[in-house]
Amino acid sequence: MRRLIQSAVLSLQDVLLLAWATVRVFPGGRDAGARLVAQLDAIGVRSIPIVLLTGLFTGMVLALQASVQLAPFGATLFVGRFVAASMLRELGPVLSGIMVAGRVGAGIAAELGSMKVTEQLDALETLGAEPIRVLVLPRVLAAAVAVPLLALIADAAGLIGAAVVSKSYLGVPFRAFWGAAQDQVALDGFVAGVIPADLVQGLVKPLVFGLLLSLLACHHGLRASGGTAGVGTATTRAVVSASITILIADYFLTQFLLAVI
Amino acid sequence: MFSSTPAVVLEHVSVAFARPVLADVTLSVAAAETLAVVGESGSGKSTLLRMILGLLTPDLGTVHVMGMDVARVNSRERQRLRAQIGMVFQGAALFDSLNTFENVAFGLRERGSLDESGIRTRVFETLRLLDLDPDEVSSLLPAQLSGGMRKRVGIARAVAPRPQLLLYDEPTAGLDPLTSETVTALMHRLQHELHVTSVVVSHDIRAMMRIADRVALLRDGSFAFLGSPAAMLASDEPYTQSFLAAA
Repeated sequence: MRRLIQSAVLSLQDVLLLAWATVRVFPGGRDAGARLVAQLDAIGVRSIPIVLLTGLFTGMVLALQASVQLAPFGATLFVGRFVAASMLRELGPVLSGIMVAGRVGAGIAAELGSMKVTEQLDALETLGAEPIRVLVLPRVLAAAVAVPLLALIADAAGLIGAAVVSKSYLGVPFRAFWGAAQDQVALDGFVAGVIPADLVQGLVKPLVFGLLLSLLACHHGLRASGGTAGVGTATTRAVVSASITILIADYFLTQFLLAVI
Repeated sequence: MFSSTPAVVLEHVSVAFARPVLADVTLSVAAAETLAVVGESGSGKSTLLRMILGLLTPDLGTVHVMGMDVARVNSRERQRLRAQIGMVFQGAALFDSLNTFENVAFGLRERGSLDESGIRTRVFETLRLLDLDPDEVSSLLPAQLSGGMRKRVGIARAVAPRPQLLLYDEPTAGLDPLTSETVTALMHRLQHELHVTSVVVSHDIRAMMRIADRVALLRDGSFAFLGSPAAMLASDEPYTQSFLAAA
C-alpha cells in the first residue's frame, strides 16, 4: 500500500513537472501553428464521429429512462429538462473526455512510446528539437481546444437524440421538448447575466479533462521502456489513468463550479 | 595529423544505474580523429555516447565537448553544442511519419541557417554522398526502405548539418556482411571528405581496425586497452587478446 501511494505521488510529481515544462515552451516557436493544426485534426476532427454517436445514443437512452420515471406522474413534458441538465452539465463533458481518452490518449501514448523505444526522441533532441516543444505542447493545446468543442457536439447530438425519442415514444412535440430544455438552462442561471451556467460547466470541465488526458498520455508515452511490450503497457496505463482521473476530477470540478457559479 | 585542441574530453567519469556502468573513465579525442569504442554488450559503450551527447549526466567526473562542460551548459548553449554534433543511432531512429527527404532536412530546418532551396540542395548533396539516389529515395517513408538504406539515411540525417563531431552507435549492427561493408566504406569516405571527428561504438572489431585511428576496448566500465589498431594487434594484454581472438 505504501509503495502504491509512493508511486502515485511520484507519478503526480512527474505529470506536474511535465505540465510546467510544457508551459515553459509555449508558444512553441517555428512551425508551432502547423503542428497545432495537425493535432487539432488528429484529436478533434477525427474524434467527431465517435463523440457524435456516443452523445446521440446517450441522449436517446436518457429520454427512455426519463420517460419510465416521469410517465407515472404524467410529467413526460419534463423529459427535455432532465436530458438538458444531465447532458450539458455531466454526460457531454465526461463522455467526450472518456471517449477522447480512449481514442486519442491511447494513440498519443503509443506514438510517443514507440518513438521513445526506437530512440526517435533522442534523435529529436540531438537534431536540436525539444520533444516537449515539438510533441507534447501541440497535443496538450489541441486537446484543451478540441475536447470542449467535442463536448458541445456530444451535447447537441444527445439533445437531438432525446428529442427524437421523446417525440416517437412519448408523443412529446419537438417544440415542447426544446422549451423544457431551455427552461432548465434558464433555471440553472447565468454567469455575468448572459452566459448560461450549464454551458460554463459544460466547457470548463472538458477543458480540464483535455489537459489532463493529454498530459497523462504524453507522460506515459515519454516514460515507455522495454520495447513493444513497454509501449503496450504505456498505452494501457494512459487510457486507464486518464479515464479514472477524469471521473475523479469531475467530482471536484463539480463541487468547485457549484460553489463559484 | 590532428588539431591540438581535443574535441571530446572525459575526465574521471563514473556512472551507475542498478550497477556501475562506467568507472573512472578518462579519455581525450582529438579533432578529426576517429576513435572506435569496442567491447562486450553491457560494457558501457552506448552510455559513453549518451554522455558525450548530454543525454546522460555522469555521477562523477566531467565531460567536455568542443570545450564546453556538457553537464553545466544552459539550454541555449546545449542547443548550440548539439548543432555541432551528429548522431547515428543503432536502429537509425528515422522519424516514421516523415519521408526520407524530410528526415534528412529535419536538423537543417531546426537550425534555421539555410533557406528552403539551400536545404534541398544540401539534402540532395548529402544523399548522393551516401550513394543514395535522391530522386529514388526522397519520397519514401522509413518503412519502405531496406535496413541498409535506413542506416544510410540515418547517417545522411546526422551529417547533413555538417557537424564537427559525429557519433555512431553500432552503425553496422543487424546488417548483412555486404551492406555492413558498404556502410563501413561510407564511414571511411566521410572521414576523409568531411574531416569530422568521429566516435564509433561497434561490435565489429574488424571494421573498426580498418577505419579507426585509435581503438578503446571497454571491459566492465573501464578501458582494458586504448591505443592504435596496430598496438592493439600487438598487445599481450590477455583480455585484449581474447577479445580479438573471438572477433
